Amino acid sequence: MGRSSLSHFELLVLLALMRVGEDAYGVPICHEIEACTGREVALGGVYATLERLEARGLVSSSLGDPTPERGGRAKRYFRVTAKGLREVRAAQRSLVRLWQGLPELKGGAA
Amino acid sequence: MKRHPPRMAVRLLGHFTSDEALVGDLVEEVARGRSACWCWRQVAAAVPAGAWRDICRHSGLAFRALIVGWVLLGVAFAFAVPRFRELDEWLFVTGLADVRAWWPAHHAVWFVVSALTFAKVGWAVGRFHGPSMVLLFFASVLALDASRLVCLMATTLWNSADLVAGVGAAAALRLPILVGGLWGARRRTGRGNDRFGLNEGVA
Repeated sequence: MGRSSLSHFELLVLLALMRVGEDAYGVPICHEIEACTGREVALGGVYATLERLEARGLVSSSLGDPTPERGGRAKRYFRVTAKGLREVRAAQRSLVRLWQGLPELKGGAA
Repeated sequence: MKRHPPRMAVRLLGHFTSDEALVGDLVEEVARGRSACWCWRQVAAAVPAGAWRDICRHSGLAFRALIVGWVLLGVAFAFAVPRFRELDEWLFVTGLADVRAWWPAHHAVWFVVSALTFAKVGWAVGRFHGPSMVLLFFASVLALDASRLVCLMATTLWNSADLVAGVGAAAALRLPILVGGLWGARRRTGRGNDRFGLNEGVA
């Protein structure tokens, strides 16, 4: 069985990043997590997680052009790397195996 | 009218992170209608995270900052502050101590001297080690204060509310460390922590 070393929040960030797609930077990633989980997340926390994932080679980033509505500051765009995708798939497989056959979770409602 | 995030919040964040994208995201969100309170909450969460990251990455520099800070604090309170007390005694000897009779706020002088000493030590730590290490040194001073208060509580009839009040008062008295430290570490360029070499190897 493949072991995923992703923490819960790292997995949330990676999934949000994949859902946002090409235009993924701090703000839409946060909005996506908030929309899916219903709880507020700190931008600084998301950036710290993305930086950690980048150091592990699971995401890559590139700077966009500075824009006036951001006070002349550039956006940092993030993308999931092939290695990151493999980690997410491994986490998905592990979680699905754990979920299967649990009578408490049958029917989809907790 | 376009809304802007609190300037102080942006400056504080700029001290602890070199990532302009994060600051830009804050600006964008506030312009879209997020409150100043939300902005401060984001900064309050990002500052310790940024400082902790710097401390973990540069443990040697963090250790040096602690040594420098405590040595300077020790020197200041072992030598400089007693000189001030000598001045106090000199006032008595010369009869000028009567000045206290018509100046009720003379105790404030001691607090000012103490605050200036903390600010100078904080400045030295910040000047040579960066803002994250100032936060570490400040936390170490508060930790010592808290441990002394706990010891005091063990020998007297204090309760937890007194402890909270005591730590709060200690934090207020030690605040000049942060002010002086951030002043010493203030950005000279637009590159944040870069002048301390804290972002080497960071993408």
